[in-house]
Formats: sequence, structure tokens, C-alpha cells
Amino acid sequence: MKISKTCISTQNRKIKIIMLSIVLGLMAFSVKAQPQETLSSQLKECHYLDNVEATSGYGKNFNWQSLAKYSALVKAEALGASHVVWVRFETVGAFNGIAIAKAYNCQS
Amino acid sequence: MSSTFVYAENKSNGIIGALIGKEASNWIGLENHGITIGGWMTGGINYNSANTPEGSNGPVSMTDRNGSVNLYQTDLFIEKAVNKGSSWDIGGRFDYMFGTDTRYTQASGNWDSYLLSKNSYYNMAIPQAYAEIFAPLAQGLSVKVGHFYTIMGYESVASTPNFFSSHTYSFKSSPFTTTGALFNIALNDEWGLNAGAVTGADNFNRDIGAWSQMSGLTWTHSKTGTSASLSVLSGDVYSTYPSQLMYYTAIFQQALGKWHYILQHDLGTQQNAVAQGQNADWYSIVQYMLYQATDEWGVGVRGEWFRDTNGVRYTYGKANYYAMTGGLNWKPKRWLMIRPEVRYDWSQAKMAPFDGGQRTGQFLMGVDAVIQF
Repeated sequence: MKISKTCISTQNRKIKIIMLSIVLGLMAFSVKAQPQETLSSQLKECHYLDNVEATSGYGKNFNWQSLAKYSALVKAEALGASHVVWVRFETVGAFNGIAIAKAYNCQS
Repeated sequence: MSSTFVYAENKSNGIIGALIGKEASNWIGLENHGITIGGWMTGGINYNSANTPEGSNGPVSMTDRNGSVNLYQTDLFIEKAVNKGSSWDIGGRFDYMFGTDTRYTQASGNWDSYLLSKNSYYNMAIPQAYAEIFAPLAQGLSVKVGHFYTIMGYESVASTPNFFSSHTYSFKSSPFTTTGALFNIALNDEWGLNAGAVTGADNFNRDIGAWSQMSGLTWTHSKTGTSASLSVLSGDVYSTYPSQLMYYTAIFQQALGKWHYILQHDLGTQQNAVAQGQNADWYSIVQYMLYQATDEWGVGVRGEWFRDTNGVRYTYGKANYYAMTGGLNWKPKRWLMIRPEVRYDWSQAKMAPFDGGQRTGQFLMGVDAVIQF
């Protein structure tokens, strides 16, 4: 079956529109992790909750620190944390790593 | 059980540290110098419903043997990761790999091609051997020099970061390793830029006159868990005639709490790849939806469409390949990951790709285990 170039470019355009719609749709549904990042010297009247540790997840991620941070913030939020203090970031291979933080509640 | 053992069991990423309480790097005091010794071993088995007579699951790659237990990869590495702080630092990494996966990861030229028998499923590879320098310029500038994994794609040659045991068609058609120099600069907390000069895809020195550029731009946002990246590798495959390869990967990731969505689009073109005057192209779309229920349990699905317009990436002529994969990811220990999965592949191709040319589709069930040292 012979397919014209016009048909292929129309198909490619449709694919790109669908992909863009998925991207924009998901970004619209994204939820900000609430805990604030701070330094231990700036903590005032805060209650230490726990250490949180999270990975950057699966796959190759060159800027893995941000993904690991997001996962740690989500975990801290689940603990009821309002603030986190980053302890360290550990590299795992070239594209992944772990974020470790102390979670605090400073709202009371 | 002593408290020391409990701590090691909880905190070590490797089986050696978990059982003995002392990481391998500590045995000879290397950890004090920031040097890590480690590795992993990945082995598994696949069942093909077609019960293929030659035992092949092809054109599925890596997990490509039916009905036999295979050691996919054993990787041993030594690494000095650079400290990306406020001062200059120097480091590097060397990986040695043995197993059935190495047939796919070797580089052409005088590097690691067929260190063992050419016909053996088991072979050796040296996927990474590089030095890295970090300079505290701007927000941080580092350069790798040597042989290293490319920045292309979401799935990894190394087993450890992959959710699924099996791989996509897109992965097999992407550049795995390259040789040269790669600069990375953090523009700020969200933006990162890569740029380098390399000897092309999966090549060490086959044609030292043919160089490529490899570059990429990454944006990540830690508050929303959104990430987007575009990576490009382009340049001549051979220096003696027009043979430009252009390959790009665009990846979008969105974390939604315990859910994680990944969309990847790849496109490759190569001049005169079919014959003189006949170029080739191939492209794909891969989507993943992963749900990390707990630190130990994850479940995920992956769907792929791969278009081999000119039949140069696989040998079944002009073709569309489709694959749906569903799997679990179980990490009962920090050093152990078990990945059962089911997968159905089907195609629209000039020649039937599966079961030695007998079928247009196949059903696979597989499981593997990754043990980190």
C-alpha cells in the first residue's frame, strides 16, 4: 500500500498533538509537595518527626537530585512535615541517587 | 542478632555490607578516599508460549532466550564519584560486565568486542572506563573523558535502575555507549546542559575520523516532580562517505504521589543506511505508568509502538512493532530486587518476526532477580 507524504505528515502531527495533550494534561494534575526546604540554622519551634530517605526512582535521570527531592518531600508530607532539612544526596551510578532529609513540623 | 547487624541490614545497599556489616570498599580502606567498589548480578528465565524451537524470543533483546536460566549480567565496578561542591575534584569509574547482555553492549573497534568466543551467548564488556573532573564554575561544571554510557533514553543497560526485566524495541535501537568527552553544566537547580564530542554510537575506534556531537537539555522541578529532557546524538558513522546518523530522545516524566508516568519519543535517521542513496529512519513512542505502593512493592505497565520504516533496525523489512508489558517490582531487601512480568508483542511486518518467521505475535512470561553486592 502506497502512503502519501501528506498522509504521513498528518499522522505525525496527530501523534505530536496527542503527546502534547498528555504532557499538558498531566502537568495540570500535578500536585505540589507542601513541605518547605530550609536550613537547620533557620528552624524555630520545630518538632523533629523523622528522617526521610527517597530514591530518584527508575530509569536514567541526569538531574536525578530533583526527582529524589520530590519523592522525599512527598514522604515528609505524609509524616505531617511542614519543613525539611536536606542531610545529603548519595549518587547511585551515573543517573540515579538517594535524597536524605530530616522532617520537621514547625506549625505548632 | 546484634544491633550492628540490624543497622547494616537496614542501611546497606549491598548483600556484602548487609551480611558482614562492612562494605567491600571498607575492607582495604578505600572508602576513606571516596572510592566505592560494588556491583550486581542479574539472572532470570523466560517462557515463550510459542515454545520456539531455537529457543529465541527475538526480536526481543537481552531477555532473548526461551526456557533457560540465564545470567544476564554481572557487573563489577570501582568508582570515585566527584564531589560537586565548592572546590575542584577528580574522579572516574570503571565497569566490567559478564553475561548474556554483553552481546548487545559491546563497542565496535579495539575495545571489548568478543573478548570471549564470537558465538557464545556469554561474553564480556567494559561499558564504562572514564575519568571525570569537576570545576566549581557557574553552578558546577564537570567533564567525563573516556568510554561511558550515553545520555540517551530512559531504560538503562545496567539492570539496577530498570523497573522491568525486558527491554523495549526503542532501547535496543538506541546508542548504549560512546567514547570521547562530555561536559555537563548545571545552569541552576532546575536546568542542566550536556554537550560533548564522541566517536558515535556504540563505537570505540572503528573509524576514528568519524565524530559526532552528543548534547542534551534537562529540566526538572522538585516541587511538582516534573521532568523533561531532550538528547541528541548526530554525526557521521563512517568518514569515507556520507553516513550521518541523527538520533534524538525526548522524555517527559510526571510524578503524581505514588504514581509515576513516563513518555518517551525517539527518532533516528541514517544516510545511505539501506543502500547508496537510500536513507533510513525509525521512531517510537513508549509510555510507562508505575505505581510504587510501598518501598518494597511496585506495579507497572509499559506500552510501546516502534516503527522501523526501512527495516534497518530489525531484519523483517518495513514494520510496526507493538508491545505491552505488565510487571511487579519487589524489593524484600535493599540489595535484592525481583521482577516478574508478562509481555505480549505483536507486529505488522513484511516478514513475520516471531518464532523463526512463523508468527506475527508472541506471549512471554519472565522473572529475574537483581542482587547488589
